[in-house]
Amino acid sequence: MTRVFWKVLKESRVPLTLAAAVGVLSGALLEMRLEALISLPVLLAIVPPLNDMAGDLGTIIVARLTTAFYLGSIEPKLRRNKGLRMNLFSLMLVSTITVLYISFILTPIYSITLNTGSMLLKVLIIVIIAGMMGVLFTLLSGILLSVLSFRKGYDPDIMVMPMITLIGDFLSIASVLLVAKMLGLV
Amino acid sequence: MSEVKKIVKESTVAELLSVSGGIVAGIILSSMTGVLEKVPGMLAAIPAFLNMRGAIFSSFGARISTRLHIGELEPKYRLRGLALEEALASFVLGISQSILIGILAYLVSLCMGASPSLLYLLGIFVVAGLLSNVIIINVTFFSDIWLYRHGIDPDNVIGPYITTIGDTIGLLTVIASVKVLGL
Repeated sequence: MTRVFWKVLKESRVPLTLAAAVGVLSGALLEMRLEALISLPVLLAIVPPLNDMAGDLGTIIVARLTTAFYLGSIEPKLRRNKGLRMNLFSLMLVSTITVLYISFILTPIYSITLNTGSMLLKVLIIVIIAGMMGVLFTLLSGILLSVLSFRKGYDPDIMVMPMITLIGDFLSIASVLLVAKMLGLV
Repeated sequence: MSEVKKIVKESTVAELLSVSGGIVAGIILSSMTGVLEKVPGMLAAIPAFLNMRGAIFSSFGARISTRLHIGELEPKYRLRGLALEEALASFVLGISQSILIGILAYLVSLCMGASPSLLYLLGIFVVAGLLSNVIIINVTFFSDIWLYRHGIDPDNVIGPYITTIGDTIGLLTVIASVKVLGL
């Protein structure tokens, strides 16, 4: 094996181990509420799409910025950076469309499939608030970490990607449980 | 503005497909409540296991994409050379992280007062890791090449696509390994 194999293993080791540890803690958050979640499977069901959305948009921003930094089309700096703002704006637009899609198309399907129609409004509130919060903080974290890691000489595709899906997952699960708690569901 | 349009167009399609795929994963997960009650620690490990598939293989997809953009890889459907090294590194990471997740889930569940089985947790996540790694590596690499050859920027698409496929394949392989272990 040559340089690339060992570089990937070496650079990925720390962020992935960190991701595994915090990922298990995110799962532990769910396990602590296992009884409530088993009695309300719709809450369990909305976790994967919200996790997907935050993690996906996080991976897109990191992948795009990494390529742009290597090509030199965006400078790796945080202040007065049109390229970063354009990427953030574009992906917030995508997240708004996606949250509306999850809210008004997928959530009713869940409610029918899992027979929890009476809670539709509360589930919609959880999806909209938890979804948007999760995405915004995930994108901001993705930008910050990509710029910092590239400036330190690390490849953001290797260093930041595992952390950004972790941040997206953790924020989504915590937001779902927080909003569900505020609505008295768990 | 044309760049914003391209990002929104390509990413929205990928994202809507992704969250629609998430509904499948959500329904699979919500149908696993019996197993989740039977195997303490399993629910603690599942988000980490799915997150890990997404993290390792989105990163793999993004690295292949960057190499295609900067000309280090030719867009050919052949998993050789640099691409093979990237794939093997991702495979090794996938297995080592599955073992780590099994151990961490065991420890966290012990701390929470449950009585998990380390053997079951390791068995479930190592078997699921092996199966899902082989499938997702191939899907990621060939998708990257296909997207690039068809003029679609893989950076805008591969993340959502892989995390969704990773969730669905990850959960299905967890169920398969639970069956293999006779739980």
